[in-house]
Amino acid sequence: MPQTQAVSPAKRFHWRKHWSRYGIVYIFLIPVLIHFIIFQVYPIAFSFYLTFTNWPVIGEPKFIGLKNWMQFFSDKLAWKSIWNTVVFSVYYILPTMALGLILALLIDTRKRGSGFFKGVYFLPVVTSFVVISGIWAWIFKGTDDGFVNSFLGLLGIEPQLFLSDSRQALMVLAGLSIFKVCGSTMIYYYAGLQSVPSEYYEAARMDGANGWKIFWKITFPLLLPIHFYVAIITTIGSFQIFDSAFLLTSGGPDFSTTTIVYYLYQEGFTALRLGYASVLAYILFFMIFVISIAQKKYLGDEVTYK
Amino acid sequence: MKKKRFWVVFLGCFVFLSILTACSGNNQSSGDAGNDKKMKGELTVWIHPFVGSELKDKQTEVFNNMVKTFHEKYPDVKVKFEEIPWANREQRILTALAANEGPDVFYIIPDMMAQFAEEGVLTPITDLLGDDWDKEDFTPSALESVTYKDEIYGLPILREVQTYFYNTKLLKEIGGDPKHLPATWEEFNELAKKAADKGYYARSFEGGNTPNATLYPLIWQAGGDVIDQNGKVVINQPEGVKALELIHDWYKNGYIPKDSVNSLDHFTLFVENKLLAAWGTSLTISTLKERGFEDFVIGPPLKDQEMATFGTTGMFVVASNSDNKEAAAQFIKVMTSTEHQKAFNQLTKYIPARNSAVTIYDNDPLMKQLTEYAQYAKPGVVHPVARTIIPKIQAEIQAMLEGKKTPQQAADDMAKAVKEEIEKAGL
Repeated sequence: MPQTQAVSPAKRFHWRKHWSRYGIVYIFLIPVLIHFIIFQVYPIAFSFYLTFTNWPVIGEPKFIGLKNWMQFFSDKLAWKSIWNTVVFSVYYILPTMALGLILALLIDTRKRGSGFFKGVYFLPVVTSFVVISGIWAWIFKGTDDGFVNSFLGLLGIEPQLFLSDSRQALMVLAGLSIFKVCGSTMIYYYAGLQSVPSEYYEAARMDGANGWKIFWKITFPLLLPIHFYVAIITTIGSFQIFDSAFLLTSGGPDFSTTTIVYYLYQEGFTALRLGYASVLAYILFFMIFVISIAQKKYLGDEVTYK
Repeated sequence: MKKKRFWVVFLGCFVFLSILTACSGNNQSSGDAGNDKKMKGELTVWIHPFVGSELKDKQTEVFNNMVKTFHEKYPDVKVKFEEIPWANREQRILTALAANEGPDVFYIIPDMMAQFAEEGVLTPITDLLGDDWDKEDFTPSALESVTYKDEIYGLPILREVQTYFYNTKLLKEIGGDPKHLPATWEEFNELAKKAADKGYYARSFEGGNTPNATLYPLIWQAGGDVIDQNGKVVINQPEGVKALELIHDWYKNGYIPKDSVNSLDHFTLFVENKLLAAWGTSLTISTLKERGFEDFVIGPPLKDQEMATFGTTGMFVVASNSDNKEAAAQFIKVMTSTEHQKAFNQLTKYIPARNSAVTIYDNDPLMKQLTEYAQYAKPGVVHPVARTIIPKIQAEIQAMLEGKKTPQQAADDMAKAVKEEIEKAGL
């Protein structure tokens, strides 16, 4: 009897206590959540609904069931664009990470002028993509008098077509992305290098390890969280590649640089098939999701420095 | 302590409320254009930077003068111009219209028109126009490009025409005559061979650009078409194949640059004196003048069976969800009247779509020459799939130039792709 009496006021009291303790959290959290629901959750849910409809931007979406999804499986161009995206990430992810790490090691030597080079390497990151692609297109011009072709000519190599060759165009675009992004991976790695305790290096040096060994046995493994982070963001970046194909190749030649996002854009905004474009967006989402999970599993181990 | 918490809570609420109001703030402004029959309300007109920024004030003046004339008859209709950049304008227009916040009147070109009309984005204005807009004064091809399924969807304000710009220095060097420029494929190929023998490219071919500027004019010159007037796909008929064979031969013989497969810029080669003939428009004249390049003459767009080329037509149209369609149609009439076409085209250096307005170029020999060629200009493929098929057509030309397909195979695959698109569009 006394027990039940004790419970009900306690319940009421519990809520007030909870509020007085956490009320401030709610007050700050709710506006953010509302914003999140309006601008993130709602569009995500709406675009999922769109995958079952035929919607040319104007007018009401017409429900057409699984037709868009079925169409995807027989759409050769969609598969080609996925394949192109995968090939692009092969060209892009490892070189970006490697180059970022090498640049970070170079500026980490703390010799005079390393600050200057830090700025130089970072410059492409802060420069407008349109400007950089313009420069890239000029460097890789496919005529005999193109910049790179002039050098190849000196070495006795035939002039290459680059962006006008369906076997090379994607590589040239990957090169552009590497050039643009490796400055920021450099900064991540540079930050990572700062956090490796110097005792380890001292100890290794006392044991007579050379620079090469120190790098592979200490620096590289201890950078694991950075590897993980950089791998995830470059992977996501590579799957979202769009602007260079849009600006330099229009997806060509012969669809060789039509990536999944470029194809999605074409289907949605040129062909006005928003429903089908939403299917492609979801396919892209699943791909990035699965790959991120896999990366988390294999690269996401916790690393403690001490 | 308690007081402090009160203030924190109060501040939190305040932030929350202000976010809420900010979110709902933009709902109020819609629906102010009344649908009063007596021509009241407001028109929102989307225009683009038709001229460089240095002439912006003059463009504003041209458009404001249109409003002045319009107000003489309809003083109670407010007209508001909004300038939208060229880049991604279809997406901007469509998304704005979808949100019911788009313009009443906006600017498009024929291939967009067919697609937008088919999707129900545009108002057919045939009946709204009445009879007092002097239909006969518009050139037939300009009228053709604003008509879809027997309805008029807009009125044309400008025409463009594409043709050859020859470098006179190179022309003289290879033994050509600026007074007798090639008019047929045969004559052009003869000259092209001479250019190639001297190590120059004969013409520009920007394979990364729309086929309106590459393949289509050649198909029309051969007497063929992409989709005929009955909606039948005819691109792989002998005429289409012949056009592809011509491109194929040009590439094989080095008449067009090696990067023609996917290039977006051959104009630089032209001004660097490496290329004999650039495919250009009236804007090419001003670009060349800006660069101080004077050694050029304009030649005809060539014929095989018939003289033909591509030239877009710019038109103003009325949105289907405009609240003020009648006023919008009347305003378009004013915008495209002889007086305002003259002022507009004089400034922007396009070709007027009205015969009575082309007199502005009587004292400008180059523009006058282009105006003459405008009679051969086709507005492109006027069909709802016109824009959707562009990447597919491009890809087939590219596959052919890379040696993966013969001209016949490329033409057949083009036809297949076009048919697929028509099917997908449910037409």
